[in-house]
Amino acid sequence: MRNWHSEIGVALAAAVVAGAAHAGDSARGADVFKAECMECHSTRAGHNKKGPSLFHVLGRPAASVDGFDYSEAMKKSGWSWNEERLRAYLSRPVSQSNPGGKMKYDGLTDSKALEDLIAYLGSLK
Amino acid sequence: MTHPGRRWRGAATLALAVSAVPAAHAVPAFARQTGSECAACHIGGYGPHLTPYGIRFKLGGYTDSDGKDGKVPLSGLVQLSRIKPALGKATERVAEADVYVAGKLFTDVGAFVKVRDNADTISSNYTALDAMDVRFARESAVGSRKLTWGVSVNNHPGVTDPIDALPAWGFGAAGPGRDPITATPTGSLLNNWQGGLAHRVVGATGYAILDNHWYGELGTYRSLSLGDQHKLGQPTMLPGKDYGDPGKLGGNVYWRLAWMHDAKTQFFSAGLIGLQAKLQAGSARSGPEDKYSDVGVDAMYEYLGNRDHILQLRASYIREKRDYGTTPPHPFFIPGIVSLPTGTIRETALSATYFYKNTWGIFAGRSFLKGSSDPARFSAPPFYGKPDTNFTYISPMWTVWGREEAPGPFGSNLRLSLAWIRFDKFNGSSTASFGPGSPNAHDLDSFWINAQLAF
Repeated sequence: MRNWHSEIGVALAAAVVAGAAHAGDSARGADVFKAECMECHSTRAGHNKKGPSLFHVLGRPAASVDGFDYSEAMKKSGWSWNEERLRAYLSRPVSQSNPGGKMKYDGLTDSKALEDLIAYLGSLK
Repeated sequence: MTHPGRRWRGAATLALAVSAVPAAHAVPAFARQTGSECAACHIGGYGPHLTPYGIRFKLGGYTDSDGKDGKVPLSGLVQLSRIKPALGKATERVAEADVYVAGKLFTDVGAFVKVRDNADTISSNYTALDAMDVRFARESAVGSRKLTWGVSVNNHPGVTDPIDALPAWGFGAAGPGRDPITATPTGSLLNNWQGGLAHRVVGATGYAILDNHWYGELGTYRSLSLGDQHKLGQPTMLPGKDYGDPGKLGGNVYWRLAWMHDAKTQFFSAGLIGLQAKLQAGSARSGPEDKYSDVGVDAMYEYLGNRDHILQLRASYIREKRDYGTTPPHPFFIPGIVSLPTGTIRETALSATYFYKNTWGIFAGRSFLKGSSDPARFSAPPFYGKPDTNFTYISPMWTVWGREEAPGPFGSNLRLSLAWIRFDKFNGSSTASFGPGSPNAHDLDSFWINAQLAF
């Protein structure tokens, strides 16, 4: 007889481990943001710089900030900025993650810093 | 008399203040163009010292923007100062007023052009074309490697350099010599002190940076005629006379190699610079040529962190070797004193800048100039025969605006600062630097209280 209690336990444990691997520190993420992103992006609502405002970025559709001149590549991406998408987008040079995009960024290869940054971006609301 | 065309004018003007404020290059036009605050490009939220982002902006030809139309590439700056020289009374005045054409002019073409109205000494008030850098720049690739390249038309070897550790933009621009009418050191051709090429020439350089690491630049210059220099506002000492003209350039080449690495929380750079030139000195601009070979090395380190604490350390050393074709006689005919066929100038500049939250900071710099002895060429009284000059420059600063959380009206910026400049040697001596009974080097010291509004 299958021990479904054990299987559920393993699945739950795996989910916890997976969640822990992706959990970032928002406070440290703020420092990552200042070093990696702040020159071009603001966290204030409605304040676009060379890049669009990242206020409430988590969960919003790509190319959706009013008043910002997005690239055609970003407009056509159909993306939604969830954690997985941010992780895939920011971990590589933008020339690879979004060919034709305007953002000039070489990617953040430090996975811990990336998780912290995503945690911080998720706190902007 | 010092080398013709690179003369020192001392006694009549020495008591007056030398310009002792970091070259004021806050350009809000850039901030309005990019949508970024001044602190994005400048350490301390105000020019001239550049962050890695500011370095990339310059390499890109000043054309980066937020994509919106209607940006006007114009800025201005006014500096109010109270200047207290060691000798003489304190004065309050508008020490400087600038107009900048700065920013994107056309697709792939941008500019940084400064017209300066200079009044930082009592005896000097003139308006002249200062730094000029008009460039075409483009991004491309070499295989999978990023390449940014461009061409600049400019008026000062080194003004195009993205790393502000060189005299054209670094500490040399913060120290004396901003006003060639004052008593200033006789430095190398690369410096912007008296007798140098700054703003007296026009030339073109091509540059490229590979993978944002390896930078190279190569170019050449020609002298502006005396008439053109005067039209562009370069000061003259007396009607019909020219002061500060280094002479007529012959064949010359300017080159620059540098490595830089932006590690986001830190920045590193190291480089070499060179200028090999022939020069016919004097207003006659004819006769034998003197040969100059400038070779320098520089390094810069920036700790950026999360931008709460920023530290910039810079060092540069330039050695100028001179092979003289001219043999000026000693002007006072002292038997046995003859001009030497060769000479050497060595310039060392060290500086440190610290800022807290891009708001409150301090700059400290030390400059050493040492030259080989030549009583016939460095022969202004009191005949020490050397141009050796050392000074220290310290300036605490407060940048009132320039940050996203503290924007100025319409992108303007305001900096308040104090500045002490202290000479411990001038013209080869620490005492009686201008002849028996004349002031000492310390008597050239000055203290400034400044307010700079950039708009």
